[in-house]
Amino acid sequence: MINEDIQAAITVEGLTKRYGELAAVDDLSFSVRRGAVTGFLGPNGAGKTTALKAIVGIARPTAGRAFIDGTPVEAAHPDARSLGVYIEPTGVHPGRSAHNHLRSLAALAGLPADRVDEVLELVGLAHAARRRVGTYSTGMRQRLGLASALLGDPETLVLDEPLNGLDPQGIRWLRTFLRDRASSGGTVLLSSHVLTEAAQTVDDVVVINRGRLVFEGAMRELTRLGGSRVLVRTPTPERLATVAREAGGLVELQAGRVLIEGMDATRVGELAHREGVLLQELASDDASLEQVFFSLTEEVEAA
Amino acid sequence: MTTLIRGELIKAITTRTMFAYATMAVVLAAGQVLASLLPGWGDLMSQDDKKEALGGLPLLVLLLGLVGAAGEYRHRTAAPAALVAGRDGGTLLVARAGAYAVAGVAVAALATAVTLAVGLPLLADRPGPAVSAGDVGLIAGGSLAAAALASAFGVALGALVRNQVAAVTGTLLVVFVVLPLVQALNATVLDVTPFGAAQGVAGAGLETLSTGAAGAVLVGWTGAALVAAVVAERRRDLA
Repeated sequence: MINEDIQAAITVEGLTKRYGELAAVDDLSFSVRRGAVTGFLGPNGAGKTTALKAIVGIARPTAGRAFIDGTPVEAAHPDARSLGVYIEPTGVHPGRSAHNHLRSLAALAGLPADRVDEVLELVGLAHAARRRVGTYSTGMRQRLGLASALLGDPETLVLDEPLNGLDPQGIRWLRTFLRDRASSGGTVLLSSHVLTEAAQTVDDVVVINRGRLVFEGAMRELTRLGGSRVLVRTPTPERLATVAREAGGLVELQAGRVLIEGMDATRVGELAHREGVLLQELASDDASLEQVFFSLTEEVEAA
Repeated sequence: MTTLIRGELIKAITTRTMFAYATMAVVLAAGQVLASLLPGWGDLMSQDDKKEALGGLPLLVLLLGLVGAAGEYRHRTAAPAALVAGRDGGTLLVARAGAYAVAGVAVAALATAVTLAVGLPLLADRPGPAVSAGDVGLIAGGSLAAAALASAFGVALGALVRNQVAAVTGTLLVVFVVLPLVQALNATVLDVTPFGAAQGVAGAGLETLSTGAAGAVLVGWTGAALVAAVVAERRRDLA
């Protein structure tokens, strides 16, 4: 896999991590492509954080390996310039200020001290930089964790539940920020236990449950897997219904709304534009996406 | 390594722990010298007793290193440090030991300054043979050397135990309960323990070891503890 023409930024091969009899991660293999945001999803206790720790090299796998840019992580020893990591819970002494915390990390990485103020400004923590971290809210700790991951302006980011505890503005900011990084060639692997939350940010998805891989592919494939549903509000529902049926969609009219199954929102938008149908609302049905997630994880539990 | 030590030193001095230990060092240094010199003020005092009164406090800085190193696991700061530096936990641990050795010497320098400022005027008035300037220099230098080694030894112990409370409690139990019991059975065995050797380097006269020999014993213990801690660190998960 690592000899592909376009080498994956992260490759995981047969990763297993056992604690006694418990296999927290069980023969897990997947890859993360460059220039994309990949969601690492699974319910609480699925083994996401344990797997991430082994992938970045702070936990020793029982078996298997992780590669960063094609090199085994234990040999690569990537630093802050190539790999930015934030894994919950935040590793900060509560009695230390955010500024001093980042100053120590910058010194350890051999980065200029100016970089500390830059990342604090970037994550919106400059106003609280001299306060002790013990006084921070969960969202502020998340931002500090992100700041530490961004210190070296790395190509690859590995973030564990970065959306947890963020307020709506923070979530929107982080989504935009991660999308921008991917657009400029950066790679992001982010974990989440809420698929619908991550769905708006990620290009690719890796779903695990009980430490095992249950799905790997593009977000669009996952949507298709469960039969995508799109909700549309339009002044001409009958016309849109006809167009959608002709394009292969399964259509249901509901009190001025059109529910279309079998195609995603982008496809519906294209059809409406082509046929000159005015759209007042166009949304993916998250309930459907969540259903896919539940069905994937329940299958493993039942097995 | 200098970069790593600098980063670890920033961590060591940017919490209240360092200032708490510096304050304790000042209070204990003044208390120790007064408790040694004031009782029986008019009585003749031997030169060895006078020298011992000026001795350092290596156990205090040993605890400083121990609390700092074990705190890395309590507050989960060891892993982020290794990740940004791109180094394994063992290398970071050596840097941490270096940083706490520097911090320990700074605390010991403060304590020694207080000891000399309070003790030397009192010693001058206390009956008995005088302590020469050379002896004072040796005791002060020994206190700083003992502090550097004891701090690094504390870092190794903290990294091996990882649990802050267990590490501190265990060390205090060994020093104040186990070793006195052992000493009751064999009066000189304490000299070859890291705690006894550290006292010997820091100015306490030992029965069986010269200051230099005590230094060699302490270097041996510190080196062995650091090697064990580095090996353990490389075999265990950082987080």
